[in-house]
Amino acid sequence: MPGLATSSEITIEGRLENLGEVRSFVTQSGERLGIASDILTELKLAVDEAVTNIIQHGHGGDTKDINISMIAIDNAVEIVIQDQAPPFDGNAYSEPMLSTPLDRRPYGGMGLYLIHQASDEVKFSYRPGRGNELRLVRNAVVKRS
Amino acid sequence: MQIQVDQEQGSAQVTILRISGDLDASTHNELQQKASEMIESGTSNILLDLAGVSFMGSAGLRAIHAITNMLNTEQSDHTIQSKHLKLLNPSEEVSKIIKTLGFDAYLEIHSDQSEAINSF
Repeated sequence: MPGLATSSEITIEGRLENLGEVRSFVTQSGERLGIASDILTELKLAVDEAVTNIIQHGHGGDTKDINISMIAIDNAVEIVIQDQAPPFDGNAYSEPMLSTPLDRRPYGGMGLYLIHQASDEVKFSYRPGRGNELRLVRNAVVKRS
Repeated sequence: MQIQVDQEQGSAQVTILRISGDLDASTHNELQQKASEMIESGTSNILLDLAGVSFMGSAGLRAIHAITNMLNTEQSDHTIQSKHLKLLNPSEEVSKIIKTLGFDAYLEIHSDQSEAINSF
């Protein structure tokens, strides 16, 4: 039936120890949604990086809940990650210094780059009084049979 | 994540850190701390065996970055591939993030342990 979408959703307590559960959710949901495994690997990494950033920076040590949903529409997947953090704008980002020798590179700053690399669309928006919402879209994800 | 430590003698003494499990933001400090302890106790060459790593995110590479800088104490060490930290047998998934973030230009990646040990 046209117009119907398949989706999965999880809410986790914002602890680094729960990152494994987040990745399992993305893998299992992605397989259920028929996402090709190489694309699913990239999306799993992107979600891990996004949730890590929320826990380490956005929530500032609190263990507030984080909600993650995945929805497949036609041949695309949309992933929405909602936090309870102060406003954060990750729409603009600078590429890490990928060709710079390691002693001259700053540590970190790679997560946002990986999120953008894995996605065709990335949109951060703030939900007043509630927190941020990160919406990732990746096109052409469905396995060909 | 678990870390097994082995010592091997090639043309130089090499400490092998065999990592298994997920190398993410919840575990990367453990690897960095273990390497730091080994370096403080005299280790100057480390081979990171990544064969058992099921997932690695940017936090894992951040730990590898820090270990590389701890081992490369000479200025000339930084301009070429690291002489003192090398990688062994990363999975295809782990190799991809190493390359995506440009670390493959500065870290040798080996698929044979003997060859890796003798390359130090």
